[in-house]
Amino acid sequence: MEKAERNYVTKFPYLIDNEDGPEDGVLDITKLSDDELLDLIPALPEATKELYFRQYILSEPKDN
Amino acid sequence: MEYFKLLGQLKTRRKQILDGDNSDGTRNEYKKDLSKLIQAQKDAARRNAIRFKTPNYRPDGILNDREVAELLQPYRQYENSDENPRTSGISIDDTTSFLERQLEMAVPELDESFVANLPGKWKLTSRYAYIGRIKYHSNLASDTIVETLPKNMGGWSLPAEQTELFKKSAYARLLILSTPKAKVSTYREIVDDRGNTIRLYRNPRSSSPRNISATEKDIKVAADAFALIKDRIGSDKKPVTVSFVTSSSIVPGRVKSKSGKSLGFAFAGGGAHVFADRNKNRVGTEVLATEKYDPQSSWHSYIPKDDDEYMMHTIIHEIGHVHMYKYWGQDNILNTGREALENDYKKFGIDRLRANAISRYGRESNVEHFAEAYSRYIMTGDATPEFLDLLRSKGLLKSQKDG
Repeated sequence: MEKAERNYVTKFPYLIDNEDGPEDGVLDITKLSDDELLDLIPALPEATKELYFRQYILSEPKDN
Repeated sequence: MEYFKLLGQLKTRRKQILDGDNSDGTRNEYKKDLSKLIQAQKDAARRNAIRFKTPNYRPDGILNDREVAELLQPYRQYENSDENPRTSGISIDDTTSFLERQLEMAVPELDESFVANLPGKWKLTSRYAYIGRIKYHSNLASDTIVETLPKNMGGWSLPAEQTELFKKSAYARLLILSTPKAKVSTYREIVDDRGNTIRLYRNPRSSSPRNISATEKDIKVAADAFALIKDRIGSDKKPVTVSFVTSSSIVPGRVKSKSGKSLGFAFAGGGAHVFADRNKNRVGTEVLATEKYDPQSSWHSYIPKDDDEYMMHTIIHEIGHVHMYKYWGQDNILNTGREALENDYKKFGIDRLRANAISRYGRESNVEHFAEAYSRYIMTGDATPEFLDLLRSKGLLKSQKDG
């Protein structure tokens, strides 16, 4: 089978401000576990897309 | 899951046959897999006491009319038998309603009169709003999956009559997955008349829906912050969501590992977030009382007098980041606004290290300088002429709106 393709945004830039100083980076939802995606679902439609993509296209659920 | 695995297998066999392997063995495996696929649908229908309908399968360039008729015959027989329920015992709609009610019960509780008395015009959203969001996201995701099936499954697509059923079942499945997680991820929102939102997550360590990620005092500080912003920059057209997060919800991966001591974070497309653990982040007020603001050496651009002001500084700092995302960019990965802000810093001659220094934190980058200077301006009204020019360039001064 050809490589399945994601056609939605999977990366979200973030800025964390904490006592050690700022940190900025990119959150890649394809690297998250299913549990982490579930926590993100109410905030980001893309988290649901990623979960469905794994379950219905890749058939490879990722667990913690 | 099995259903989609079979689709993958079928695609492989189909390719083998179309590539020239027309042996009886391969053809029989193909037929067997097709039969398994229909059998899986029949089994699922029986298991759930749902009426089974034989798929509308047609000759596909490999199977001829006779072979298709043979393939479907046992299923047509079952379909027309008394064994096949006339109507579904429990419909998928009944199931989703049940699951929605379960999840709704786990949504945090908030006192409506407390919300109504907050500064500004705030309203408590309904418990169902959280479920509605999940449904909206699920439908968006289902549509994406259905649209990309032909590409990802080598030409296979979901028959039109099954698309709606797929959407419903994917939503039900998401509700099932979400329900045990409800203590972690549910939230309730309060929204003001401008669309600004304060989102409160349920505390995952508690079984009570009243135990949420912020105290009433925290929520009031956030409402005060929005009121101050309105006083300073007028009614902004791009509402912001401030989420009070708990230590183990919403914050994934790299961010999560910092959440124990992280005070706030923002992500493009996701809004401002504050971790309001007053036990961990308590400010030594007696120390602060003696500290004087120094733009070069103070950690922050404003010396708060107590915990509430410290929290407010953090909230406004994060809203500053979100305003950069929204006013200088498009609040997404493609355009966070960072580049445009950097260019404007050059254009307006803002030097974070020397002439326009704002705090030690603000020395780290122009993005942090902006959030710090923004926070200082909102809380005290103090800003350099260069910074005011920068805000003016995006219509972020109250005087621009009030004539």
